[in-house]
Amino acid sequence: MPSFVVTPAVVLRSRPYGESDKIVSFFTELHGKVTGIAKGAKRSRRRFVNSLEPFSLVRLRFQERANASLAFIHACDLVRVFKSLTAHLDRIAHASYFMEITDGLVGERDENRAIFTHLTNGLSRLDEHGSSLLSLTFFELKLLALAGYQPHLGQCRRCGMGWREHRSGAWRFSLRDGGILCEGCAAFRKEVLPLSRGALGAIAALQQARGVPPDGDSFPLEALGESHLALLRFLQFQIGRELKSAPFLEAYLLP
Amino acid sequence: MSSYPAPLERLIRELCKLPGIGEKTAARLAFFMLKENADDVMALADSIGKLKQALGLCRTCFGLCEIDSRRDGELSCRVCEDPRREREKICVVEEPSDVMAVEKSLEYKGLYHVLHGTISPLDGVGPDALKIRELLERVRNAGVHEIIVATNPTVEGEATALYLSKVIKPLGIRVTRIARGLPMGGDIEYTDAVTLGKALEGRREI
Ligand SMILES: [Zn+2]
Ligand SMILES: [Zn+2]
Repeated sequence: MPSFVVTPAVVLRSRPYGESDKIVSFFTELHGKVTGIAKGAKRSRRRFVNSLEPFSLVRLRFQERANASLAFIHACDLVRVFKSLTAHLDRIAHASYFMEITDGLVGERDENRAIFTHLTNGLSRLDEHGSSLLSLTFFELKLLALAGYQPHLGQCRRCGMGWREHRSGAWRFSLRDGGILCEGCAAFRKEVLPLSRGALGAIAALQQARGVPPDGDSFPLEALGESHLALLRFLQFQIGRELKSAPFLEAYLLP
Repeated sequence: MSSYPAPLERLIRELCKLPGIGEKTAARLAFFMLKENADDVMALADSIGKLKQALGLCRTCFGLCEIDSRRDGELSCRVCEDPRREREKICVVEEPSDVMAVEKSLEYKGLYHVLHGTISPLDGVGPDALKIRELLERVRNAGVHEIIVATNPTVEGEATALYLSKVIKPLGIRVTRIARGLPMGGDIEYTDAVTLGKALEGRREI
């Protein structure tokens, strides 16, 4: 029998399984994404008191099972509840979206401590400062980079022309090329989205920011909104499906 | 399972679909029925068969309700029909089984409204998929003073409560949430009557 693993983790998703169990996905600090079964979690609360709800930071104790993709969840202790997350609809919308894109971009057991840190920081900020388009776009960009899908937004992916150097011409974001195309290279392409210079500038600045998003006042709201929409499309393209939390996020995008 | 005669195997397979019933238990139940006298077994089969035909949803609160053949499809549940219930209060719950749980607490004398689900961003379930429009209709027309939101203490239950407060409060109606005595992630259906009674008593405005 493989031995127990104990690791800090964030609950990504929790769904009922049968009459009394739950299937829960975590993003763990030491083992990446882990999905497991919590026996009896629906009825008896003793072993999993308050600790299997999405957005919670927990100390997870699990065990791999031979010939089974689901781990066995032994215990799950609450380390931190982001209390104000569930007290506002916009925060629930943003946090749910954080969980879904993280879940979608990473595979099971792909260890990635940086993503764990990014996720807990993102939830913490949302809990303490509320939601904002800036934090949202920052979260999307950094997550994409950490998961290996950094969009390339400096030069045209085809001809190498830089958008800063060429003052004229419209730029497009190509989902398939994972970056921007100049007007000439984007001609006749259907899967491209227009991206204004304002949005390109905001994304470039956010890509350079480390740890925390830079000061919010420096970006116009429209530029951030446009960036978020392009990144949402790119995330859906990479994950390979429509995001279920996207309509709710759209409804409660702004606090 | 192929060692059983076909009718027995079929019954075992059906029983296995029930919650908490594994193959062994299913086989034990099937053999028990085989030994029982025919009338008892027929009574069981009959009550299972009638379950879906005899029960419907109340057209007012969407709780479970017996279909009264004499009244030609007019579906109204016992609570909605009862003149002694306080008509100015509506307790909003997720599922019909939650109505039974709140009733057991003996604390509550008002009416109910069953949403048949919760707002769940991660499952793509929005307000339109629930009986919220019907609730708003009721609230606008029926002299209601208070909506008590008794959804489960989960992220989805909280999201639903916040949404209801957002759309109902502007109508000038008090919206309250049952107290936080219930642990996060818990289920109203499995909460004991005393705790649930206290949670109802200690409700606060949202
Ligand atoms: Zn080009
Ligand atoms: Zn009714």
